[in-house]
Amino acid sequence: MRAGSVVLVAGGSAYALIAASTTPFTLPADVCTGLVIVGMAVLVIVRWPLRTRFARLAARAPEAPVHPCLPWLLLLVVFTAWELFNYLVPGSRADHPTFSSITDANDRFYVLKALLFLGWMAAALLIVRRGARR
Amino acid sequence: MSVSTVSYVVWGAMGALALLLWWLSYARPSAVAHPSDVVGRVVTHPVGRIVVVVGLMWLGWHLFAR
Repeated sequence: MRAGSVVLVAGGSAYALIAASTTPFTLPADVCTGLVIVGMAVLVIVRWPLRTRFARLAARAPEAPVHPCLPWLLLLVVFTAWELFNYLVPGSRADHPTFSSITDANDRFYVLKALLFLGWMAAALLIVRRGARR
Repeated sequence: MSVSTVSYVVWGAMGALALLLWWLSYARPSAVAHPSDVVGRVVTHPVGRIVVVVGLMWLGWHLFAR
């Protein structure tokens, strides 16, 4: 692992541990989360081209019956449908947990919340990098 | 089986399916695209990239701040 990657992982982990120690609906939580959002916005403005060229995937193998992105699209559709069903169906949140309520339960454990925050920042970094000018 | 158990089983199945697709993206890349390639494709779409960025920002705010 390169030195830059080590610094990035160590710094990100330290920040996630700090952010995980905050409580939602408080100023520290707003600041810790808001700084990442602002940082992401700055990186997108600085690194992303104004116009994009749609990325192509590697050629599909002749035996592949469907587009290789289709399984992920179907999973996203099922996820969204299940989330909406649980959100809208009458009944308690305990009976019909949404993704948010599951992560709320996860947030009771400091390390799990820190990992979730780290994963969110990693996803942001991945998106910024993949959309950057190459 | 209670209603909540069914809900959690479905959530768990979706998590397991995501892991399976992730594994398949390495084992059979011609059939299942790698997640980073899917992201790369979406964020190079003029509308898709805005939806993804704003969606991720909202998700973080929703999960950790409000």
